[in-house]
Amino acid sequence: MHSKGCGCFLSAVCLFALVASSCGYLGEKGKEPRGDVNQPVSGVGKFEKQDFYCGTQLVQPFLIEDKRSSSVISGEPWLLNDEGAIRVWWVARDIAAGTNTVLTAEIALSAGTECRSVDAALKNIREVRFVPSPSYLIDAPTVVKKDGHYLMWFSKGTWQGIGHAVSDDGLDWEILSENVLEPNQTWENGSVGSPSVLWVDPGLVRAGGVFRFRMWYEGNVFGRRAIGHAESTDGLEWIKTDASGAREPARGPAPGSVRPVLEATQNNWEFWNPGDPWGRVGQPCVIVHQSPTRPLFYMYYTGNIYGRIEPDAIAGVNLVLDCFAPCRGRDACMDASIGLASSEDGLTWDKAASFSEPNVIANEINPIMNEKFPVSLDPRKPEGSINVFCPNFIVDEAEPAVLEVVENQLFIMLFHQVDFMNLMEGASLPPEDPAVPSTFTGASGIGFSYVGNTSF
Amino acid sequence: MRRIVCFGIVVCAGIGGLLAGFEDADANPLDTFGFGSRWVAMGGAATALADDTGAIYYNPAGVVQADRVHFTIGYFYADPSLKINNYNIGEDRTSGTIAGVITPPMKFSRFKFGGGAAIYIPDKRVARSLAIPYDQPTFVAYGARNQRMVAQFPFAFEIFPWLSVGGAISMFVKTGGGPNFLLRENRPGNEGLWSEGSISATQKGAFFPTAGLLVHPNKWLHIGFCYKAKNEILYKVPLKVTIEPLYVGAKIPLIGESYIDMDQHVYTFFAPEQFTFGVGLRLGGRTAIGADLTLARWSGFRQPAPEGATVYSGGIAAFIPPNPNYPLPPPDFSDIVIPALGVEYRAFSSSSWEVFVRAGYRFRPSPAPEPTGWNNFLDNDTHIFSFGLGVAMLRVEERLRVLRGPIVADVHFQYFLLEENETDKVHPVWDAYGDLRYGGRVVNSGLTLTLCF
Repeated sequence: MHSKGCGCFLSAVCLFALVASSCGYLGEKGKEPRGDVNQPVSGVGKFEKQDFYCGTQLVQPFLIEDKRSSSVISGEPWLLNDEGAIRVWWVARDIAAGTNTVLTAEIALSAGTECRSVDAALKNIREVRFVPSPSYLIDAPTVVKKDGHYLMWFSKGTWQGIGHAVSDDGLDWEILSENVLEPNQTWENGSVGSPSVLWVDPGLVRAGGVFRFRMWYEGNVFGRRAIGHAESTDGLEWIKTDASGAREPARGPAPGSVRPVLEATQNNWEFWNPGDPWGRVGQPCVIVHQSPTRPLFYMYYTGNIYGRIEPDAIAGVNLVLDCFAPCRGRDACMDASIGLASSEDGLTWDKAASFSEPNVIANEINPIMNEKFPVSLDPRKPEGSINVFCPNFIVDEAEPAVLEVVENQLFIMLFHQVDFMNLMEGASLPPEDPAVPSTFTGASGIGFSYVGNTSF
Repeated sequence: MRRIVCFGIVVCAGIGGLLAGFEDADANPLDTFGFGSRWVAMGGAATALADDTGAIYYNPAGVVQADRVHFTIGYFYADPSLKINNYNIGEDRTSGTIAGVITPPMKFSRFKFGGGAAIYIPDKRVARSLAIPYDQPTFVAYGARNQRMVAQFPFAFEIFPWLSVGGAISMFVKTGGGPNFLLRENRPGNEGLWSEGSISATQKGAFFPTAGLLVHPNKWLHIGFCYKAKNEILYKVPLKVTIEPLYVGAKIPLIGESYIDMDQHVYTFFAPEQFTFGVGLRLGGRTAIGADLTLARWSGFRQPAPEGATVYSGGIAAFIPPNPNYPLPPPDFSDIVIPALGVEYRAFSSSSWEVFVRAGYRFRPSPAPEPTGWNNFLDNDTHIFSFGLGVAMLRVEERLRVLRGPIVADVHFQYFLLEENETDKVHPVWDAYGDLRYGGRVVNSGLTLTLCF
């Protein structure tokens, strides 16, 4: 009995060890876990720009394509999480007719195929109507949904001011004011536009304040373009404020002492080249990102944006010739990119790392969106600077609109892309990809990109 | 007495020589998960108590305590569930077979000498070196660091009945060498010639020592000390490319012969230098209590991310700017002190069977700094709870004559609770990951079977 029990005991233990060991050897065969799935997604680039056709580069944008045969250029997208649906507003600018049309649609995200991890499709594209009918161009809309109503702020005309409209459905809008914010600060130099508005939680209202509407906008559009800040209780009456605590009315005469909250500082992409004395940042899109520990403002913005035009260049300048001129010949040709900054209070901003900054040891985060291929490099790159481009070719990425899709650990970005020389023609066409139809011409319009984990 | 002193000096000199002679030293996945279910169940507090094959790892001086051949074989399976921002990152498990054998002590004059061997064989791969970017959030105590085979060879001397010393050598392999290529242009005059190259790889042994000391002032008190030095493997994979002069259609070379030298290296398989002091109590033949205190010198942890530089020389150097070579940020880890406590209680005893119940606790504070900057090395203060059972079948040698002692089966269950940490980055958008919340758990279970011959 004793011997039998001993044998059974021994056999049972050995059998268990054998089975356990076998499970170890055979389990998960073919997999190589690396501990890198579900890595944190914080909305920091590089955003992955999507092409229309897999395997064919530089024929973006993927989403809204401007046809070469048309004079319409699509841009200024704005994204809104509309109770679970992703909704977009954008502007179709008809250059020939001198008109702007605001459109809206829904975006359906899905698991991607081939080269795309995420796919996107537009549906229910409709034209937006305004009453009273504006006598000026409406541009760069930003939309907030509050208490079931849609609230819009927009650029009036060519950066003359910022107007405000309301709607119950996002389609039919009533303009309440065409000038809730005007250029009246020294740094704005007579132009403001491209508003980005948030209705923030009480925790993100500045200490002691009651202003839950917060706006970031661009000013000094034709010069050293920068980004300013204003706040409001009702969306109509705004106060311009800055990080130093200066406060002045947003319209009418003002002392003009309020400073911008974000200016160009990063040499490698916000300036045309190291000799450029100005630099330009603008077209902000500000979102609130709830990090695992705190809410943060994220500002996506355009750097080195087209804007500095010398007086003698405004009239009669030949863009094409200027663009082919040697580097630093003209300022008319620029290569805009999209960058990112974060802030805890919306006033003091911390830009994403950039190689050209001192003591930054590695990451080049900014710009978080630029062309896939650097089309040219400045051969006279000064010591210590990196990726200073000579903008002989223009493949602008600008006017970002970003939305965090929390449940998918995903940030999506729509952006306006200007094609090669603004001719609405892909820089690398014709591609060898047989999937690309011969009629495809677009490389201008609104592109789609994303960063994050992409499981649906 | 003189002979004893001389012998002791020789032994100590030998151990000291071992410590001085090897650049790196022992540590391995067993540091994380332990060796042998009995001691794992007791929280690893075995430095003063281990007197079976577990002594090979916990304190080689204990090897000489065995009075017969011990053979242990077992298996453990550690499954991590580590989360960053509430998402499981899919960290690799650690599992494999352990085996150990120690010989009965031989007598040299009045001294006893014992030895043996132990091995841990992972069941997925012999070793895995995973060098990831320095800024990717990574739990440094888990993952690839534990993916390696371990072989350890102990020896021990009993100088006095109350004093034993021992040492162990573990062995690993480090690889050197790299590819060397010659690139040729496809041009007239090069017909029949191809770009060609060679790849050399050299495997060298890396030996890591351990040393231990065991004192028995009386029957119930045991005092142990064990030293394990730093373990680290340096992988260097230099790449050399030679490019013949380039003609690019011209009749004379437009670009002279060029050279690309890439120096890539990575430090991997780190485990810290450790000093462990242990006390053991054997009370009334039914209860054993062990307590360990370990100083783990994590300050020696070097940046494990791949680092390299590329140098262009010759003709192409005029066209390709030097590759900026930014030094990676130092990890700035701190030394830690790890307490461990374990209890074994003989809960049942008959003429044929004995049943033991065991429990243990170990606390491992995090040596990693809060990842507020460039690095994203994650670690948490970790509470490690363990318990286990042991069943000894007695008098089996009366039936199975090949055996000379009981058959012992031990099982263990170990639970690592990583206290959740939250980190606000100084610059939230200076890397792709931002603020972090991280924690999780690791479950380790296993069993061992010990036979005495």
